[in-house]
Amino acid sequence: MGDDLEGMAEIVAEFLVESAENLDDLDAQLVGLEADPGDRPLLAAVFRTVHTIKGTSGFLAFPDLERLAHAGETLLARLRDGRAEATPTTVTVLLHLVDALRDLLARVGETGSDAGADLEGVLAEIAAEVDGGAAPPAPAGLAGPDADAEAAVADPEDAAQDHAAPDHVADPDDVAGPALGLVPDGAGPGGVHPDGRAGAPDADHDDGAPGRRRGPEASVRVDVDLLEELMTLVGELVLTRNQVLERAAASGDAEVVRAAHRLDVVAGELQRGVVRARMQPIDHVWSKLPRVVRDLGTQLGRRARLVVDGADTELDRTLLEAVRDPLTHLVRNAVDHGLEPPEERVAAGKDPVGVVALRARHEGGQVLVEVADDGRGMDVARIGARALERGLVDAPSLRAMTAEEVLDLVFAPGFSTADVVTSTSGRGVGMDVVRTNLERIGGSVELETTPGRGSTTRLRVPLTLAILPALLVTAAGQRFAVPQNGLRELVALDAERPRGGAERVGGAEVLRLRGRLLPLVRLRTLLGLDDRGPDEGEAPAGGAGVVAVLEAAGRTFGLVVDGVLATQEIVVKPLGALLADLPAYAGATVLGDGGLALILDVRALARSAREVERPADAAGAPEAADDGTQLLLVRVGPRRLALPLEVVTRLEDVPRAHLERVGHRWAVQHRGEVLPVLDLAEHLGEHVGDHRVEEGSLSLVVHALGDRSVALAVDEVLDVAPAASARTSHLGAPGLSGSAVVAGRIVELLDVRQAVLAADSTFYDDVEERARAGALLPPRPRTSAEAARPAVRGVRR
Amino acid sequence: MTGAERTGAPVRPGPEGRGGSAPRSRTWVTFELAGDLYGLDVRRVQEVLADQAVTPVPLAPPEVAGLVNLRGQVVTALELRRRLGLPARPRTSGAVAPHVVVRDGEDVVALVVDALGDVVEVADDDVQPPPDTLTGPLADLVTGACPLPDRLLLPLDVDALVAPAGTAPSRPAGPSRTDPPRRTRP
Repeated sequence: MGDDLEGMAEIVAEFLVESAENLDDLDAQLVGLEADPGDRPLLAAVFRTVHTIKGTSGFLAFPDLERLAHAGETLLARLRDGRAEATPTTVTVLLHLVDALRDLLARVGETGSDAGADLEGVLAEIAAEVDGGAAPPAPAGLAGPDADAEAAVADPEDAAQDHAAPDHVADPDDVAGPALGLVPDGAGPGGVHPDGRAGAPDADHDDGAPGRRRGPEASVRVDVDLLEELMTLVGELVLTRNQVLERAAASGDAEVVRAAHRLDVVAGELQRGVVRARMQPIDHVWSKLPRVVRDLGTQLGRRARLVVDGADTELDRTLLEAVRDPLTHLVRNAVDHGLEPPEERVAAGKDPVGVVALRARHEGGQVLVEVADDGRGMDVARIGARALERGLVDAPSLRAMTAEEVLDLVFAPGFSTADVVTSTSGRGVGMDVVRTNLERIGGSVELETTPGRGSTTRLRVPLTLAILPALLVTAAGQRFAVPQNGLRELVALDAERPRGGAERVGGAEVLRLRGRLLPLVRLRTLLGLDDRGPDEGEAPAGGAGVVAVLEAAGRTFGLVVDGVLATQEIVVKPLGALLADLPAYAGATVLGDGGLALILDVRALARSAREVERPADAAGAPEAADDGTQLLLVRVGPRRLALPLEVVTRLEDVPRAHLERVGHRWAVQHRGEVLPVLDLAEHLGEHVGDHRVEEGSLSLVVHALGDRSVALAVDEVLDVAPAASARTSHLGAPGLSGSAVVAGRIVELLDVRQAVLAADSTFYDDVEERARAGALLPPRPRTSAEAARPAVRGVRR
Repeated sequence: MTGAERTGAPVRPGPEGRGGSAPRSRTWVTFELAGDLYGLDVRRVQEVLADQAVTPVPLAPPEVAGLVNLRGQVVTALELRRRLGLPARPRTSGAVAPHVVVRDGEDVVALVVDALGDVVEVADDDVQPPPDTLTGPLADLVTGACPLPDRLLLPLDVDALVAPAGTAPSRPAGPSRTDPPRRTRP
């Protein structure tokens, strides 16, 4: 009957799915076995898995699969009965067995048959291990020494469980059923201790244990598409609820309001329920990692142990998929770059076996996933050198960077510290891709390292993607949604001041925010909503606007909007094909009043912000170097000078009268500290004046590194401009490192290092000595608490 | 307010249009654009809408009028005059432009037109090749010409109409071609 054939195909399909899952667990179990060869429950679990595959493949008539599983079972039986020990070699052979089984199952999935694969290699390997594994006989075997594979069913644990539900056996479908319906029972941390999985029913035994399936009410398999559909519907419901709530409140009908509130509660619960139904424990991704660590460790001569904590932490299955590759990459990195070879570890007084730790937990509405190693940590000096070598940064900028900023360079595209390109790492796409993947799903990556003690990478992953909290803003009368994960703070511009207190330096607008210069982009300008030029594109009627401080793609910037309406949970709707290539938007959403709002893509805005900062100057050199170098233009006497914006920590204006003579140098008291000041006019031989008797004020360009700062005094800060390509030409003048063409005029490039040393001859000593010694650079102290923190952190969101 | 009575009219396919017993004719949903009558295959038309709030999409290609909320679904609205390279619709007082909603696979696109016409059935034998005097986008989008008793109906190719710029079948550059580079920077 056709139904039978169809039923058979279904059974085979289910068998493939189950077996694939079981084999994934086997990887972890075998690695666990290597660590503890005497773990009998673990051995029994491994044995049962292989035995199940053997039994079912016999029943479904896959002879090669059966033969292979049988060979593996024979070897496993020896281990289980104590006739042999699970040596690393044995485990390697067993892992090969798992691979071969996986290949065969894939073959069955593709061709419907298991015939044609070359099994001789792995069979011979297994046979050799069975013959060679001479070991003491079992002291107290579970079964006699001659017990063959079928002994599994005599396993007391199995037997007990099997008797729990001894029903329907006769029908072949039912006999197959239990073998196929082995629901994985959420294996514990790392999948190392699966609780007695699945009695293996043999067709010729009557112990077909269908009761293993804990009853259909305990768990069901649900089609992923159905879950997606449910999620979409819940999204619609949330939107409808928003609309009903808005209208009910306006209606004044108490009955309607009550019903609306009830709808609110129910919709909220339903949303949480469906979100939870889509959740899977992170162990689904982690279970593959013990084997990754083992294989890579063996290959690279590292001894590594994987410890896991929080394997049952759940997150949305699509997000789980998104972190799969980043996690694998980070674990590989930890073994390859993090952990030292055993002898080096012993020399350093550490356990020769390195620890790679995976930790997961819920924190603040997000899932925090950590990959930590206790290896050598990251060498900031070496990272800087590599970044320089790769041309990711230039020397002056690098010198001006704090340790955390240098550490952050590992996230730059094209960065790789591996000295040789290997199959496992060194392709220069690693951390960059990790960060990109995480940001794409609204997450973030942080890196923390302590030299000699190890590194920790922290991934922050949102709980779900489909519904996200967003800030509703307005620009030119239109509403837009800004996802909150990139939002750091909101700052109101001052309506009393021109341009709301923002300053214009050349083509770029900046806001001084707590001593730092925050580049601003105006949403109106960015979206072309303002037909007036960007210079007049200021204050909308009734206020100066609000700056949303956003962080994405490695940079922080301020997005100027006309107003902020509310925060709201929004449902992301994709844009149609006609609009799909607009980078500015991540989608659209339906608002409570039925109107639509475009969802801004903060990453894309960050990129546009960079472009707006460097507008092509029609009069100047259109060939501006596209390396992102920005110059700060200053006036010193009659001369125009430029210095890389990267070295500028902040700008200050001080009355000339505040400058004080300290020996033959100048200094100014600033926030209770003495800040050495170099008068650039003096430095460049323009004039020697006595500030104390002069009127007016000076501009100070403050350069900070580590916990030290110096200020360069200039007459005026003129502009910020992109560096032109001609900047390497040398004039050979003292105090200068070259010249550049900016907006059609030649400006002199200040040799910042020389100038800083003239102000404070020991300025770089601390930092460079420590960097040379490979010790850590202290983070720039912003608060005393931060300064006291032992580890260096680079934060990227 | 001419044609206001008709804008809300439901589209009723002729019985022959979906019967399949008479494959020798096709049914067209007709509408007006700049004084001419155009038609879309009724099988591709999901519905027609009278009045829709259109949310503009800054930076979008010029032929995109914006987004409309179609019962919770976010649908792109295409300004058909601009898509066809016709002069912009004069901003006459109070006239609402109806939308013809067409299906494009999974996607749905709303086409903004001047006014809706009738649903007409045309025998295949009555369809003539498109006039070769058409220029610009029209030359690629008009698939034929059907003389009706009182005027000429120009059927349009839905697939080519809603294909994003760049993926549409190549069309010769005409003077009225509406494909200026997108404004990425003010």
